[in-house]
Amino acid sequence: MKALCWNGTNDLRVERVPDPVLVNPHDVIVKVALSSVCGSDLHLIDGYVPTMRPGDIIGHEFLGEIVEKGPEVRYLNRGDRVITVSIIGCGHCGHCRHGESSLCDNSNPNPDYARTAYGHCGAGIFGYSHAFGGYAGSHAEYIRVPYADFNAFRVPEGISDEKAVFVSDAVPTGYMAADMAGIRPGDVVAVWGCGGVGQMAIRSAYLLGAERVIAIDRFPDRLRAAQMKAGAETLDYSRVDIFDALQAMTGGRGPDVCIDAVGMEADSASNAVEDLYDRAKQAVGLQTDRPAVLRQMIESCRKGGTLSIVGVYGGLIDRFPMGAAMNKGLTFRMGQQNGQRYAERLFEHIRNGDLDPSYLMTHRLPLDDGPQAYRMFKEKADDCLRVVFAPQS
Amino acid sequence: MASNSLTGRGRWPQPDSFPSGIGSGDAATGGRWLAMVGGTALGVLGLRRSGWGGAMMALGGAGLFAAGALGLRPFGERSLAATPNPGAWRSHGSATRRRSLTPERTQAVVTIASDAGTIFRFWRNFANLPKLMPQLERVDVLSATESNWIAKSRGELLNWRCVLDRVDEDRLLTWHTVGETALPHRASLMLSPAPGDRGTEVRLTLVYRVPATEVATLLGTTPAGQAEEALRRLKQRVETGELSTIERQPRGGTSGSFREATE
Repeated sequence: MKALCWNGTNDLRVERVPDPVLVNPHDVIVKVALSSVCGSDLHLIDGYVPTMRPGDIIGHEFLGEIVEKGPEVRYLNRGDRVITVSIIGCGHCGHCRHGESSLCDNSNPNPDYARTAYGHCGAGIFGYSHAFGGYAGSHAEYIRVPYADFNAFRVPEGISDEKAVFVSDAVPTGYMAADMAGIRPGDVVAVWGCGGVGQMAIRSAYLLGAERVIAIDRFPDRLRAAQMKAGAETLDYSRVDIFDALQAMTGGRGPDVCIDAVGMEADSASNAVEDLYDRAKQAVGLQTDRPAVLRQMIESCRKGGTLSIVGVYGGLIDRFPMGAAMNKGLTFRMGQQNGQRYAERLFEHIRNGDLDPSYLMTHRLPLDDGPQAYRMFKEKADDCLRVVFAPQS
Repeated sequence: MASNSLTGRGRWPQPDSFPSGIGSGDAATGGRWLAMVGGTALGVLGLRRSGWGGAMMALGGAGLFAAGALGLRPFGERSLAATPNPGAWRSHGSATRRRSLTPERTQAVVTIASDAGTIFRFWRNFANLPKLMPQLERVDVLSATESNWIAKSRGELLNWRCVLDRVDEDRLLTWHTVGETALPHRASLMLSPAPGDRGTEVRLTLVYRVPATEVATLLGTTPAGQAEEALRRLKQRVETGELSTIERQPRGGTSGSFREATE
């Protein structure tokens, strides 16, 4: 089959690889119909996530049809149209039982790296480095899905592929950002980053009771989508001072909830010195992640407010304003998405018309265009919000 | 996985030190306690006496207590074994020369979302252990207490016999090697309820009488690695019925040819 493989920093290639096979009794094989790029893939491509190996197939957000199933798969059948949550849970450990499947004890077959780096090991993730299990990703014609009964969800009738595919990752990630922030009616929510996850966080914040949502980015097309599609007020951080603007928009209180949908490669276009400092430290290995958004959120958030972090961080950051966070009494919530907990609810929102993620798919391309598509996505050219591959075309 | 390997001495409290009287007992622990108790008694007697004799007794008692507390084993560990088990650590030829003066003690712990009975029954059938310890070829259960273990060792087979010491249903299982073996060791599996609704805490202790490097040479894994991997697999087997793996999955590479990823 064809697959899009990582072969080094900024080196993606479409290659011929063997088809996947059933290995464990709870596996299914999915024939991939749609597979989306994700902003977190850029961290792999840019070389910021260690433990990638040449030949790794990337991609983790996908929809397709089950073509084979293992003998212990009980609830799914061949021919089912399914999405699969990008972060793999076993469905049985204590974390999976309590709706924290991204913390699954069992799904990462390569726990040593995470245990050394983080103290404990989290779940495996499709196509997201060997620290997260080394599972082959979805930018391929077929993919093996372990613990399928827990991780794959039938797409209800009436929901198109284009809407459903994002329930694999972008929608639950954005929804979880809003959900774990504990939004209350009347709250003002600020969302940093208007990519796919940020867009979904904006919509989810409204669904969960936010009165106003302020979206922050610097790309006009993304700000336009946040305003027109998701209903946010917008701020261009390359043009205004974000702290001043947020205080002015919230009566001097600051937003009640601040959501980070950016992660480790944040820039500080409004503060050239800070940006240079972060990039220099990252380049020489004195920090692995650039925390510009985190600093801005801590400064801007109202006293006693909540920071909800779903942008991906991998390692260490520098100049973290812990004093401000402590003395302002901020609450931090964060984590990889627990999509298994939300999938059914999100399909219901989509079916009801509360949520339509299909506008994230600005480009639909064959897998052969993979390297160029990621370049376009990275450079945010052609108003690209998300490229979705159709590997069967 | 919530598994931590606790290797060697002094890094972690060891609540499940082998209860004295089980099998060979922990000679080191028994010796230390004996030294501390004896030292205390000698010190008290000395303080009750007057003159140089009393002072010397008190001083000797204090020294003995300190030696015990610091684990110096003034009498040597073998002579202080609480209840020696003939054969447990019997000297045999070349194995004797390699034996470590201090037992290599490794402990790993994990919480499994299951009842203790299920976990205990799985482990109690030693024939299951090759599923948890990939270095084992098989374990033949010979009787209610005896088993023959066959391991893969540098392209050859290495075997040893084990006897069960204690079977405390759903709580504790201890066993040790008997007879001549290149890897004399003893081990225990201790189960206790985890707080809340979290299942069962499982603690595996391995005490080798040869250096960890020797174990690694013969079995291809250190005692710490062996204990951690066994509990990781036990947890997965019990909780999910399978082992997570990326074996046989497709991958690319510069040649585009199939290369199997390693776990």
